Amino acid sequence: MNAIELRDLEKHYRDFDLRISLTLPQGCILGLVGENGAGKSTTIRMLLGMTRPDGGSLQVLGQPQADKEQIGVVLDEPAFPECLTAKQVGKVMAGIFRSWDKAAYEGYLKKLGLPESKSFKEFSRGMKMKLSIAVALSHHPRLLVLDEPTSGLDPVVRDEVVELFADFARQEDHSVLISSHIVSDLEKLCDYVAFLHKGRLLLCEERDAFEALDPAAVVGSRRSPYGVSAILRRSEAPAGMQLEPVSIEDLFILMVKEDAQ
Amino acid sequence: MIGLIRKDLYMAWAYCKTFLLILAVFIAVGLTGEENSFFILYPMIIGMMLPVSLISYDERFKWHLACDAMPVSRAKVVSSKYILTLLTVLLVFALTMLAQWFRLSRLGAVEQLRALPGILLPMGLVGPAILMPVIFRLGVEKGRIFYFVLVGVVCAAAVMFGSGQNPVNPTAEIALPGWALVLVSLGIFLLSWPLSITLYKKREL
Repeated sequence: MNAIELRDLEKHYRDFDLRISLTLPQGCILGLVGENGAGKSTTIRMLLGMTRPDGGSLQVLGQPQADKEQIGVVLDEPAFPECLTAKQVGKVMAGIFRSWDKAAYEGYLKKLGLPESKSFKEFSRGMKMKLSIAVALSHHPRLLVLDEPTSGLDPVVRDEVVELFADFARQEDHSVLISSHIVSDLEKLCDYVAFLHKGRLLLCEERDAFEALDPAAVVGSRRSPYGVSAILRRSEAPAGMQLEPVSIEDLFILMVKEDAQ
Repeated sequence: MIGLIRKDLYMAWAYCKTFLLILAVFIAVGLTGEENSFFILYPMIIGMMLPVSLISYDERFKWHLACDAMPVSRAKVVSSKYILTLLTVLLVFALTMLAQWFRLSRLGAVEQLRALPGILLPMGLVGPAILMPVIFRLGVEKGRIFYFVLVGVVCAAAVMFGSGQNPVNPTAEIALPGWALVLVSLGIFLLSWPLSITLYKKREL
């Protein structure tokens, strides 16, 4: 079973159009990368039912609507009332999640060095993000959806956090979708990487897929900090690889940029 | 739902202590002071503002986005605020009635108490019933503007059409009896509730 399936999911804004098809097999970690404004957060919001898609279809854990009891979410901005302490946050969540595990939550607070009685407004950015992660993990989700969870964190905290996600993903029915523009974090963590650019998915493959390709299949390629965009000969591409038709404009830009490199 | 109400109670205690203090002072002054409708009615105005203030804090902390990402339906978000409003209005009503009962029984005029529910409960219920659908559709900032316009219109109407008689017993001037006013205001409140749910479901956060 796939943890996530997005088929031609669309969202149109006045100055931005997003269209994305994407699959996350169960038990895997998919990194969604792209520049700011590429559509990563909009994709995640549609996935969670926070934003209504204008077209296409989706399935999350086999359901057409995300069952949020089974999903742990970390948003790019931790959103708890500033007056609440970590202990109070736990009590609030116990009234929200049916499967809330108080002992697991207290364990995460201890592991992450978060004080129970300090209010949220006194937390640093790193501590706020850690609290969000503790909440996301403490109701035994099957899928983690993480929107820029490492953004703004110092390298030590980032490493701790990435380790937590890796721990979570060790159980074979656990899946993770993580959006980030910090490629090094994704390199440590992901089985698959999807590169989103201006609302279009340019690449969605296993992390090392490009290196494994037969050079004869590659017409042209362009490396960026987020990965590789490549034009392939369909007949030479490995069976089952997700490919999208290339427009003349894409072809032209890629050739020009490749020459420039 | 329990989690949402619990969160609101934590927030009310943290951010609205001043409200609660003012509420206590006004009820106490209404208890001991001269017959002054301002001190009798003002606690209810404060009480009905409390849930709206909490919605404002929710928006500031982006709690409404967090709710959307958790197993909390928008209907539950709205309902928690209506339940909180109802609880607040009933609490302020009970305290005000108790305080006035003490005051009026000392004066030997307990029968005046009968008019009070017909004023207090519509005041506490109708304001939020009008305000909350607007807030859930447009957000707190625009909702507040609407609220100030509404208060202005009500005050202007009171000045233009008010009789200047004893404000504790104004039902003598109103065609509907007190109990009917309570029922009508409760009806408006109960109609506003699903309206807010429908409007909030349509809102793109």
